[in-house]
Amino acid sequence: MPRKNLLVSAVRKEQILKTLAQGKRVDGRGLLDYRPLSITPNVIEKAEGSAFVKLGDTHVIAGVKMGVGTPFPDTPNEGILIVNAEILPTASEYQEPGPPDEDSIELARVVDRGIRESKMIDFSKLVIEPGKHVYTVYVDISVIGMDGNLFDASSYAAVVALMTTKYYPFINQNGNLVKGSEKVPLPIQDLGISTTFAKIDSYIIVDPTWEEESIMEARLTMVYDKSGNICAVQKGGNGGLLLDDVLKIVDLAKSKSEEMRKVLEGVISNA
Amino acid sequence: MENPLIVNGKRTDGRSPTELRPLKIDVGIIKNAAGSSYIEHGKNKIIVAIYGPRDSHRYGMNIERATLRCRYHMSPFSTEERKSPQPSRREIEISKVIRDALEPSLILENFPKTMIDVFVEVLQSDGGSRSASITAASVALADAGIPMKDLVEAVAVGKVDGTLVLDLNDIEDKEGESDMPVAFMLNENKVTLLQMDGKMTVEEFKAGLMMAMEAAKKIKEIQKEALAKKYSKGDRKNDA
Amino acid sequence: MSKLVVPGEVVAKGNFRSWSNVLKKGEEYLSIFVGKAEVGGGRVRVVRLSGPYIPKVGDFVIGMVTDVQPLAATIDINSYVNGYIMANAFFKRRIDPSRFDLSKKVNLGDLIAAKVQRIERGKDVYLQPDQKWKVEGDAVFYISPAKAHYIYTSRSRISSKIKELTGAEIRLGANGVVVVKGDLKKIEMVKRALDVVESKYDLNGLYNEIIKVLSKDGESTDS
Repeated sequence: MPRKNLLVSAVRKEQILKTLAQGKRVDGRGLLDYRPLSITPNVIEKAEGSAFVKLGDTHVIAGVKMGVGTPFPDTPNEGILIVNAEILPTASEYQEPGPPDEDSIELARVVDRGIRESKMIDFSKLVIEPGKHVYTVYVDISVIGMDGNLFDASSYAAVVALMTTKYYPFINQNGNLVKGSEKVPLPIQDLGISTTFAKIDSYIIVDPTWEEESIMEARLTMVYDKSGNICAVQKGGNGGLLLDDVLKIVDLAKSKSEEMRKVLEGVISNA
Repeated sequence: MENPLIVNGKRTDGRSPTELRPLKIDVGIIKNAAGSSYIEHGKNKIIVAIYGPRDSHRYGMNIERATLRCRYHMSPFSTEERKSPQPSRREIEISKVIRDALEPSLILENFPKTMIDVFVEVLQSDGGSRSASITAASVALADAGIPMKDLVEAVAVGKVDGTLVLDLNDIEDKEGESDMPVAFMLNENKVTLLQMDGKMTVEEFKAGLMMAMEAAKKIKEIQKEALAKKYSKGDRKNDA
Repeated sequence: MSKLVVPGEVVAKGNFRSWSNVLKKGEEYLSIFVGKAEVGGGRVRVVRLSGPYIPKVGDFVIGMVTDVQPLAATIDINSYVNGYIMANAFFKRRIDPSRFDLSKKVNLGDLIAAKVQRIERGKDVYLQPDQKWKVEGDAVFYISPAKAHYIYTSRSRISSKIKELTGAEIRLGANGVVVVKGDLKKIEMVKRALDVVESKYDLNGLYNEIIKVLSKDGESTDS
């Protein structure tokens, strides 16, 4: 089995714990600070939307492509969302080339839930001909470099790519689909913001690095919509979280998500 | 001809027939990799990561030298139409020819029974993505400290509207008469990649090869600068 | 004279008595690495600036235990080959394999200081534990092995200067593992010095730059 967790040396583990005891992280951050975050929208001209996110040394690029498809029988009046993620073999020495592994699939599904359940996109407006032709929104996420907290980095890349998407609409002319001449944005109505916390020893930290994830008890990712509702949650890691910690993280995540919302909105309004 | 690709000696993107597209290389962009690079060549945007040499127990490992493995992969959003994430036959062939283009430059005897991986990810594709991949991969291998006889650089030449042109862009690649990517190890006067499709006369072929070689010299300078930029970061700061 | 060179670049022309990390092609010596070229005294060599740790007999290394069997431990020495410590290397005497269990002595994740004793089949690196083999410290850093070789081979100057200026206790492995003993402030200073090592290629400049960076640090905290 390939090793996905780093084996952290005893000395390094001690160093991490001692530093946490002083209210700091080994990279100099506070316990509730994100790493430097840079988000560059529209990096791929050939995609309808795209964003390149650098969260410390975690580097993720997301691209949006629009397609036309047949709606699902149970939702004839809704467009389709397909989220796909690949942790590329460029990302770490433990990543083998090949079809998406369970980590990539979990990543795609958590990002998908954040987009879907926050009702970010009004899928009823992505219908060309009810029951026959709807838009398929493909969100493809490529993790290029890996240093922990892939969930937040991938989620930010995906939502910024969607928010900045512009595509040529199809118009139904007597049963024929004709490409429109002017690009339009997606019908965006909300923005789900993901934040991820980890529990190491007795400490709760935000935005864990890979090294921190490798020694953590557990991790909790929470997505909040703009009204402050929780719309997606994923617990990770092979340990448990105390009920008290879950309750604490729910509150911390809410205020952190508001902070990150401002950062993302700033990026989008400047795009 | 419906849409001419060359008008008054200028190509669709305004270049002359012997002009390269803008080419930019960054070195050392991925923390976990032994070596890495990012290239923008025309509209190509490509990332290369090197892992290894590393211990490998795979069957068929070479016991006298390191085994080179290469994966060329295109992101689903890299093309006009969304590309399926599964590797296509085209990607598998290109992976192989990239490996064959790089291997002659490497001194692999120092690392017996190990594996060196070259992972190429095309984030956005344009004409000549395999050439750009080779140019970038060679720099990434140097960054990884894999001993090599020379850097390898690649570029395509081809025939468009009856004219021999350098460094084909997307539309020239698709609609031109021929496309010929070539890779060089200039110090040894060797060609390490040579493919062609379309039609050319023998004279055009020979002239094209020379044209590609002249361009490779320019590309080599860009490779050298990119490496120097990374490895003298601290020194440059001092000079300023 | 020292100059940054890249693979395939001509480092020197003429006749030299000895050369390393270059290919000789007629009169020309071509670098096979990104490195610092040193030409003089009948010698031409390139000091490489990147690449894996290449073990040499006699090197002092710091590695991490990644597997423990009753009679041998596997050590990650930050290289393309594994290091091994045999149980009897810890003792002067012969041990009884039926009654001995190395896992009582070393644990997964332990850092171990050792000398490269012998290399078999170019691949298996056998290590002799140092007298103080169990590495204890307050912080561990990894610098590129090629750069580590810089400070390792010039240990007397750079390494001792960093110790002197930071007041920290430092153990440096030729394989790029650096273990520091000291408080958070000292650790931070060592980290800054190591950042200088990572960003520069010129050894002479390196020495002065470290002094500069660390003295500046001292001033700013005094004020």
